[in-house]
Amino acid sequence: MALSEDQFNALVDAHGPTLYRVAYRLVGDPHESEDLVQETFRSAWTSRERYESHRGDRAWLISILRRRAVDRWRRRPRWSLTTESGASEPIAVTPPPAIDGYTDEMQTALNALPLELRETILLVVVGELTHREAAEVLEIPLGTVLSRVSRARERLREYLVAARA
Amino acid sequence: MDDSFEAERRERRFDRQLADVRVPDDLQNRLRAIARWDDATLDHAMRDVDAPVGLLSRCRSIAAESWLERRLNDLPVPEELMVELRKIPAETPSELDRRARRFMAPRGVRGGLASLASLLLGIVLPLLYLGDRLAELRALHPAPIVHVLTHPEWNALRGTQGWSLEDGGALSEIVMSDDSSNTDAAGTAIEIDDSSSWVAAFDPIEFDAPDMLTDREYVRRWIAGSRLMWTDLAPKYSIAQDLLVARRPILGAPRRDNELPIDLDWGTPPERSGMVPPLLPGFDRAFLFRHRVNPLVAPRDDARLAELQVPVVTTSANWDWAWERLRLRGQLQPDDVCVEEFLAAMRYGWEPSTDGVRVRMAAAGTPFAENNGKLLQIGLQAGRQSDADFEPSHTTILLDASESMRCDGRWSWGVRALLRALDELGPGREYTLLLCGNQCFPIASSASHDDLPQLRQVLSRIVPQGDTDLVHGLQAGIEHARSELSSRHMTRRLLVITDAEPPTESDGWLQIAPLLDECVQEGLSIGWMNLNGHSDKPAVSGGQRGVTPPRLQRTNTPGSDSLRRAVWQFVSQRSSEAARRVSLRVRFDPAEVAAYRLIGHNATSYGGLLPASEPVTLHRGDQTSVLFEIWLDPRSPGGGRPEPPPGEASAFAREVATAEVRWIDPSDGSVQIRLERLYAHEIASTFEAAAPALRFAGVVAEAAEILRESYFVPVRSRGFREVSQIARRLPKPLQSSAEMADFVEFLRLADPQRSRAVP
Repeated sequence: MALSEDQFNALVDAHGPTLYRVAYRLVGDPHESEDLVQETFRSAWTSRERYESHRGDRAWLISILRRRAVDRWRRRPRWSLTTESGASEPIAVTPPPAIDGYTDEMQTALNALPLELRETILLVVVGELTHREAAEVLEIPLGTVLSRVSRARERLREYLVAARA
Repeated sequence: MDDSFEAERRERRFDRQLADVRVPDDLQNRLRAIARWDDATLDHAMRDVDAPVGLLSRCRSIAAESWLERRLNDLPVPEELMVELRKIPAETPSELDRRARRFMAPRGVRGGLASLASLLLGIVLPLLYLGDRLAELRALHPAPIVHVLTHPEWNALRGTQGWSLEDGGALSEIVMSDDSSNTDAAGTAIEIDDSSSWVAAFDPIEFDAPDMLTDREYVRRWIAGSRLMWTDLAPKYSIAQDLLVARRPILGAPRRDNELPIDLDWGTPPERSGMVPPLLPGFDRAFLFRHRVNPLVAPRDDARLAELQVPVVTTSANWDWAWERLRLRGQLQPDDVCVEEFLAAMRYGWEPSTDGVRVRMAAAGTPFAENNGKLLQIGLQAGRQSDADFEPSHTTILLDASESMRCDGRWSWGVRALLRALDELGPGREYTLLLCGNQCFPIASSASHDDLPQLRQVLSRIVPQGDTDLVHGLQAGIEHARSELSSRHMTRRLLVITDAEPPTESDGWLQIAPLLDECVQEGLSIGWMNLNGHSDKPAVSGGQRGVTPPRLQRTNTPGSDSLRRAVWQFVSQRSSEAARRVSLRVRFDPAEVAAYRLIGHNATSYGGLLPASEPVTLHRGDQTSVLFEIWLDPRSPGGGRPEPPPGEASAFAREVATAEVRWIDPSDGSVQIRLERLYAHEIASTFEAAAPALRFAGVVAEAAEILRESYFVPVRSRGFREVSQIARRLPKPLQSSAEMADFVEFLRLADPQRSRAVP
């Protein structure tokens, strides 16, 4: 059943804030987060024929959001480091989604996490996906999700405790 | 409040953790019963449960997550973002249509179709690259796209009265008076890329179209040209069905009381215009669509470029419209001017011919072309009816001189067309002219062809004003026609030229019904020409009102061309058609002609994308000119040399260009073909030595190209002053013609505009 306009508005109201928070925690920049969420809903609207009501709305939207975020990271220029010989050598570096512009303690802790841990815990804790939904979105086994969430939580706790000390 | 809220949150987290895990039936109840959520209590609750691996740790995380969740979610969401998100992303109808079709097919079929489409695209796209079509699209890319959004039921709406302009105030709204539930109609919209946007929304509809535009000009100025091409390329788009054009009167113009309320009249789609740009290497279509003027063509680049079919244009509506625009606004926009219609509005002083179509070719050096270019004129002249075919007649013309005749310039173009028709009818006929306003009085009695210049002078001083009483005017006209020549044996006719419908019963028609009966018995024909041709009221039929039909011939003549032909037909009582389906092909000899440029006939997008223009019908009195700038090859045997040297006459007999005109003779239906050739030695070396008709056409075209701000004009840096000076040096017979006088006056009006526009 295609997504109607009313259903679309209901989705925005129900999941818009959550998506924004996931996006924010994912990229750490308010403007980029807004763009991401807007792109997500735009994509949702344009692919509304694929929509099936009451079947994991949030998981569907977050999967779109995640793809949009990945697209953005891919578009970013790769960093270039100067080697000892002085030649400029392009190397592939996983770009930090946001390392500036945000001073929140939790965000700093999230930025310190590897991308896969950060992504997983955000989907489960902020995105409020079940572990199975998160596993489907990330296309990883359920057990991996469980372990990632657990490791991410432990690291966050350690980081925050250390920061306060 | 805090405790219950926290319990609810915890329960949600709990449910989330267990949503994808099969657990014993009573485990959930046990967990929910936990009042103090800590590890010991949890272990106790699950002591005898064979829980799945990891469940216990997940349950423990529920308590541990609370602070994390609170911190991670402690982010304000911008309210503006939520507002933005609620806006449905805009999509064009074509996208919607495409998507709807895509998802109609099953998945397997979809894959097959996608493969097929990929294959087709792989073939079609290279072809597009090979052709010049992609080049023209690229040329268009910077231009804004005009969206013409219509709905498939457009045809069903045509002619309905559901749409009207609210009268009074600023005339700024269109309201759907009777069918606001028709969302299809309300979805019709035209968006224009500049500040004068015209956007239709749901009831009420904002209407901010530029005024003083007829439907045709509206299309030409705002929609046509390169921009409409995008719409043409849209799937399933059909100009004839999907283009909506609304027509409305000039704001502030005087109107007749009985014209209220003003209906918004859906105009017909624009006629195709311009030469068909060939898809051939060597024809710069990108230039054509970028500059909207025909490019230089070198016939040696491709043999097919040496021959082209040129549309024959006989309508002169643009000339009338430009006049009115100048008169009211004192200025013209470049897109307001159509060169070929300016040329069709003129008469070139050619000797009358009784052929169906007379073809004339002439060429000369021209001051308007760079690098020793020549001006080539191909003139088409409709044959004149032989005077022997006419019987002597006297026509009483009742001309409405009320204020409403000033609307849309009806008075000026009406008088111009009337006098031209009478001139083309030639000698042997007499006319009495009555002006009809509040009172009716004659300004000419039994005037002949020779009196037309004087009549023109008298009419030029008349300013229509006040009301008119058409019933009394008609009565006076009939009495005048009956008394004028009662003793002479001439066919008598009465012609009413007005911008109103014939009077109805309520207007007092019955008062003159007996008079009309007498007219019928006496053989007096009455013609009624309505210059406000938009009305759909049926013609008055005397039979419907219990009187003998008065043989009143009612004709809608909304333009000077139609009025001229209708007057000609009414006075002569013969068809004005001289030749049907007239087509013109021009061939250049590549050995002689290095390059040519067609002046005017600039293709609109539909001219470029649709088949060639339809052949036209030439009517008696029609004259038109097709102009080229040509550059002869100086290395050719005859090229570039003004005089044929002795002993080389044969070399100069080579053809430069050939014009082939085909038409159907309306008298017997036979196909006629005329070939007219131009030889190199026939080209006059200077403009002053050229035929007067060519010189006149040259200055008219130059003036139009200046107004159009043609790409080829700025390099010559010529203005109206120079054009006027050249026009004044034309021979006297042309100088004294009405068209020449109008043209000189037109230049005078247009000149200040140019001097302001050009720094």
